[in-house]
Parts: sequence; C-alpha cells; structure tokens
Amino acid sequence: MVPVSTLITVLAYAVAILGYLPVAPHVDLAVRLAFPLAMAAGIVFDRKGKYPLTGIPSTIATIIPFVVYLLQLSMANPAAPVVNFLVVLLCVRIVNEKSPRNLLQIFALALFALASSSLFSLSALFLVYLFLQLALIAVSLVLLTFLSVDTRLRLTRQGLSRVVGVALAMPAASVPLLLIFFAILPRTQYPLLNFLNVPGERATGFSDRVEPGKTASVGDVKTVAFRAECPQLGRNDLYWRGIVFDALAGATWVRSEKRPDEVPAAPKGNEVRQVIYPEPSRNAYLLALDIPTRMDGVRASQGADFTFTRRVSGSGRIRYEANSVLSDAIPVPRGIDRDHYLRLPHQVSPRTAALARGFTAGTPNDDERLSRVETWFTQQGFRYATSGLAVAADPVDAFLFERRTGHCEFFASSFATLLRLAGVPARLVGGYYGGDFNEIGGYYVVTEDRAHVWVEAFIEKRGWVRIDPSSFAANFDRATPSRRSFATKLAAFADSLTWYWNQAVITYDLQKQVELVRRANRQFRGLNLPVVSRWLLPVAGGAAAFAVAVWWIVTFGGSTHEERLLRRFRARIEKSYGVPRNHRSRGLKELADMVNDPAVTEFAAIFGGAIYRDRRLTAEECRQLSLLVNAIGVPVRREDDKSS
Amino acid sequence: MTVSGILGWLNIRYLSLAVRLPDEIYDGQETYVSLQVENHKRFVPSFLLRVELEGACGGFHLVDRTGSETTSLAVTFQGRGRKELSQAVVSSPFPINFFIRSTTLPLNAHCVVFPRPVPCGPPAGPADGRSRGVVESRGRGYEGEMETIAEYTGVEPLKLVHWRLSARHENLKVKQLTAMADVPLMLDLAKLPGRSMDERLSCGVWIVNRSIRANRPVGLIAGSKVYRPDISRLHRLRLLTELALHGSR
Repeated sequence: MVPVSTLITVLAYAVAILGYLPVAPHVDLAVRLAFPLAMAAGIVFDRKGKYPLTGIPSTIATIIPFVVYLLQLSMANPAAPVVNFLVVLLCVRIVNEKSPRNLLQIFALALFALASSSLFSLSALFLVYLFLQLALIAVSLVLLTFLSVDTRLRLTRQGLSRVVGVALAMPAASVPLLLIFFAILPRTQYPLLNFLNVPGERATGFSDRVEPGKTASVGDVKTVAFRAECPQLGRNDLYWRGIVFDALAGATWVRSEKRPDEVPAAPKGNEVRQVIYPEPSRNAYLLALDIPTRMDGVRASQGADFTFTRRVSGSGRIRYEANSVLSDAIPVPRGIDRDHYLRLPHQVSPRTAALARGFTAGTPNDDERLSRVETWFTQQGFRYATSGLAVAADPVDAFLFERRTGHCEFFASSFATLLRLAGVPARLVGGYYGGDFNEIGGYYVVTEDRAHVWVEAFIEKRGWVRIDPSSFAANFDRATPSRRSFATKLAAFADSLTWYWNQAVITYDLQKQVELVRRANRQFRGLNLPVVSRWLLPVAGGAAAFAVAVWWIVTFGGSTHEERLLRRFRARIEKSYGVPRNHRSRGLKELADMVNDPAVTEFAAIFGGAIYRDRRLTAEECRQLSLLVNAIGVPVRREDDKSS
Repeated sequence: MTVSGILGWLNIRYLSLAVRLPDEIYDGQETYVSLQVENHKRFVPSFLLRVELEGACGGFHLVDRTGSETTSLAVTFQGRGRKELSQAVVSSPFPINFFIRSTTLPLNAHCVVFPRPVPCGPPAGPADGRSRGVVESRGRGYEGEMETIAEYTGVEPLKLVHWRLSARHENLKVKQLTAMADVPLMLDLAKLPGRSMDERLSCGVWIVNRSIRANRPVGLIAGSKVYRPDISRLHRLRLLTELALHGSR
C-alpha cells in the first residue's frame, strides 16, 4: 500500500527538478545554489512533518528577491530577472507544506521555469524536459484528485498502476493533438521573442574584416555556424562564399562602402541547390557555395561580387535556399575598375616591394604574374598554424620573411598584397571552407573553426579567379579523413537530431504553414485516380449518404410529429432534471408533478389534451409545444424582475 | 484539456447500479443499503465515483474494468408507504478535479417504508406479568413446565442441566421446558392511541415489534382486514406492511 500524499510529494520534487535543470545554467549563482538547499530542507521538513519557514520567513524570502530582481528588470535584460525570481518562488514553495494548493503552485512554477528556459536556448532537449514534466504533472494532478477525496488514501500497487496508466493516457493522447495544433495554429512571420535570443558576438570565426597580426593565436571554436542541405560534393568544391574584402585600411582588409560597378556574366559550371540553416547570429551576410547566383526564402540584396546580404536585420533562426554554380572563376566581360583593386597598403616593406618587382620582370601578362606568385608561394614551404602567429604592424612582411607561419588570413592577405604589388587586381573572399557531411540528415555541418579567407585575382578573359593561398602551405592536407570513429558517428547522429528539431520546430513559421496548405492543395488537385477507382469516390460518398439515411429512418423514421415532440420532451427532462427518458411507465402528469416546472405542466396539459382525446396536434399546438420544450429547465423570471 | 474531458466523460459511462434493501425500513430512521456498481467498460477502470441515493452518498475509489464493487450507504427514507428508487446520481471529479461530471443511472428497486415506531404506552389488554402463563406456547422456552430430557448439545444454558440424571448416566442431560406465552393481543387500528392516523400507525408499529419480541402473539384489525395473532417473523412483516400501506390503496 502506498500513501498517495507521499507519492505526490515525490512527484512534486521531480517536477520541480525538471523545471530547475534547464534554467540552472542561466540563473545567478545564489539562486542556483538555493534550489538544491531548498530541496534538502523541504525533504527534511516533510519527514518531520513540521514547516518552520511557513508564514513570515517565506514572505520575506519572497519580497526581498522580488525587489532585487524588479530593480534589475529592463528592456535590455527582460528575461534573466524574471527567471531568477521564478526559481526563488519555486524554492519557497518547496520548503513549505505540500498542501494541494502549494502543490499546484509548484507544478505551475516548474512549468513556467521550463518555458522560460526557451528564452535562453531552444535546443531539442527542451522537448525531452517538456514531455517528462507533462507526464509527471498529469499523474500528479490525477493523484491530487484522489487526495482531495480522501487525504489518507493509500493505493495498492495494482490500483496505483491502473491510476498511473490512465493518467499517462492524457499526455500520450495529447501528442497527436499537439502535432495538429503545432501545424495549424497561427504564427507570426518573425519570432516575437527574437530580441531575447541574441547570441554574443563571436570572438573567432566568420568576421567582416580580415586583420592578421593582431593576435598570437586563434582558438578553435567548434560551434556550428550553419548547416547546408545538399548532395555530397568534392572537398575542393566546398568553398562557402560570404563576404568580399576589396579595400585595405592599414593592414586590415575591409569591405569598402563604395565599390566600383561591374557587370559580371553568369558563371559556368555545375549548378547545386542548397538549403541553408544558419545558426542565429548578427551576421548579415548569407552564405552559400561559391559562386552563389540566387537566394530564395529570405529577403536579400545581391552585390556585383556575388555576395548576398539580408535586408531585414534579425537574429532569429532562418532558412533559405541558394543556387550556386560550382566554378572557380567569375567572368566580367566588360572589365573592372583596376585602380580600385590595385590600391596598396600605406605601409609596404622594401623587401616585400622588391619581391613583388621580381614577379613583374619582363612585363608578363596577368596570368603569368599570377602563376609566378603561385610558384614562389609553393616553393617557400610556409606552414599553416593557428598559434605562434606574428604580431606586427606589417603582418605581410612578418609572415613572408620572418615567421613563415600563419593561418588563412596571413596567407590570403600576403598573397593578395603581392598580387597587387605585381599589378594584378586582387581581393579577398571570406567565408568557410569544408564541412562534415552528415549522412543521416544528408547535409553539411560547417563549424566556426572552418572560417576561411581566400583570394580572387582578376585575369583578363577569365574574370575573377579563385586561388586559395593556404593550399600552398607545406602542411596543407586536402585529403578527407576516411576513418570515422564511433564517437564521430554518435556526434553526427546527435547533430542530425538537433538539425531535424531546428528544421521541424524552430524554423516552422507562417511561410511553412502556407507552403503546407499549398502542397496539400496541389496534391489534392493532382489526384489522379485510375479508371477502375474513378467511381470509388462517388460510390463511397453514396454509401455514406445511404448509411446516414438508414440511420435517420431507423431512429426517426416512421415516427409521427407527436412522437418526435415527446422524444424531445423526455430528452430535455432527462437533461434538466435527471429523470431517465426510458422510464416509459411514468405518465406525463406524473412527470409534471415530479419536476415542478411550469413548462412541463403546460406541455403535459396541451399534449395530454390532444392525445388522450384521440386527435392530432394542430400546427399552432406543435409550435407552442416546441417552444415549451425549449423552456424546460430555464428558470422563470418573476414579474418584478420583468418590470425592473 | 480535451483529453481530460474525454477521460472524465468516459469515467462515468458504461456503469450500472444495483441496490439491495433490508427487509425492515422505517420512516425517518437510518437504514444501511447495500449498493453495487458494475463497470462494463472493457479497457478502462472507473475512478473516484460518488453515488448519491436518497440524499446519502457512497464512494468508490476504483472499479476495475468489467468488475464490480459494493459499499453500504446509510439512507434515511422519509414518509411511510411504497417507495420506488428509480435513479441515482453518479458523479466524479476524475481526472483532475477541475470539473465534477455527473450522470443519472436508472435503478429498479422498490421497498415499503414502515411507519416510524413511536412508544405509546402499554398495549391494550392484559400485558402485565400476571397474565403470563395463561397460554402455553408450542415452542420451547426457559420458564414453562419440564417436557422431556435430552442430551446436552453444548448450547443449552447450564441451569438446564439435570445434574442428578447426568451423574447417573455419566453424560450430561438437560431438561427441556415449555415456553410461557402471553395472551394474544389483537390490535384495532381505530382504537390505538394517537391524534392522527399516522400517530396511531406509529404506535401500532411499536406495539407489534415490542410484543413479538416479547414472544406475545399479535393480530391486527385494519378496517375490514383481520390478521390472526402470531409471533412469526413473516407475520410481523405482514403486519408492518399493512400498517405502512394503510390508507394508501
């Protein structure tokens, strides 16, 4: 035998823990520690059956944090104080007596705490917490109902299993409804709580400027930058284009405000369609495989250098489709503003200038100069590294002649500077290189540590040609790792779950709803039944109509108007006064005396007056009786009520 | 919410009720009625049922699927005469106590409620100690003449053991005495004390019960009907029924 009260207390603690865990990383340290302490105190008090903190101590423990967090509340920081206070309230409830009212408050607060965790992160784990919590709350609510009937009730194991089984049917049966409501409930075009979800600026990874020589090392950040759904491609095709840097500000490559107009032609090559799911960021540049030609599903403006920027700023989750041409050259038949792409940094060391002069000996064409720079780079044996980097005012000089070690920014900026010094127009392209193909989901995961910078050099008749100077490093490895460990597979599986969650839930918006309706509409229109089954629909419809007609005749058919009226009358009396309608032995007069309703009495008088004198009811009587049936059970207003 | 509503609706559906009433029910006196609820659902048990019958309430925490449970209700019937228990209200706060759903279930039970017994002084006729022994009863008793000697069966009172005979036979012998009976009492409804018919009936019920318990045969004259005196249980119930239904037919 299990006491129901003990069982509910245990469930309440479990529900509270499920509410606390997801918000724990986001609350203040004091609040984070207060919860386990409150749990321990609550358990001790429950065992002793005494609650010394009830009353004034609890009120003080509520009011002080309320004032503290109210003062912290601002438009810039709306979520954290509220969530902290929620956890404080939960703590206060836990240390007090577990009365039905307090238990309901614990359930509500825990549910709010879990819901508020979605203000900080919307991971798939939220769903796990939610389902667990809903299941436990459902069981608790049912047990609470038992407790309200009998406070000292004890259930046998068998009885308990029956109760839990039926209680769990509630959340289980809600799942299909949940899915339907998820699909059809109206949504806004943009997430309302977007402003709460702004992630911190990334220290490393994709950036809107290239500034080598600033730090001695760059940390590898393994956070996901974006996921791209597309067929598996060769490693050399995986250049994800984001931004083009065309100007120099000191030693820093930036994107100039006024870029020269150029008219590129459509690049030639294999077309690849991708669906990109970027992680939320403040970055306005939309990424796609080099060279992107078109983007759908997001309002974006296209630059002449095939960069796409979002018109509406926002940091919520988005998804867009991109069309790319896998090519390493952008043809610009009408040429470019060469001067703009030949501008040099203010500071060029003499040995760099001297090196560049060597590439121009004999006034070769741009193609030849490029190949000379490439050859020189290949021969130097530069090494690719993310630590032990040169920190210098002239990073190009430091990289080329001293350290000879660097990451892609050093390689690209040095290569582009040498090209410009040699008279070849050049620019840098920022984006990502590579990606891990997830075979379960059929998409690439590109992490922040794959952020990359490469060079585009302008060659007459070919256009902007892609060169990746980092590939000239002695330790550069283009080989794809062939062996996939169990841990890697597991990580891929976990990532695919997150991806499906993001795809199915987080980015499900009005647009997808409209698309769903359209698709259903299209499929319905395109429904092409074979000749044999062409008659299926009318036949099935006819059969259904026939079934309804048979039911109607069996139920109501053959009955006179009087019989139908009497059936309605008895149904109404059953509904209003609980007198079973199948109680045929009871006469109308007897019924009228029993229920003491003027409408019933009048009905009995009119109906009996006609039927017992063996005459049919007149149309007027039928109308009157019908009105009387509707009036049964409706309280009669007194005369003084009417006059007022 | 929808699902809990459906569960609550299902919880009080496909149930049937049956009552078992005692033989003697008196007006205004608490009577224990046995109430059985049967769950005809094939897959789902019913929980926390509350059955309201004639102002009394009974509870069932769990009625298993295709199972039944029984409880006792302390019901107080008001008014003498024939009573029909045609329905009972079954309600339940299941599953989450937000709403209480209720339904009316038919009952097919009849009973006769006897008038409330009201003490009304000694019955008419000789009822004191002096009249005892005037009539010899056919039944066995403890105070009449010795009739036979029998073997001790272990239930007879020790004072009935015939010690001298027992000593002679080496096993216990007991005396069997005749019972002493009173003079039969004939009640005439019209002559019973009381200002109204109901008061006279209540008085009659009290006298019938008291007399028969004291082993005194009672008969009844109710209008044209005459019941001969007797002391059997069946006879007593017949008299009480007559008193309960008097004037209502």
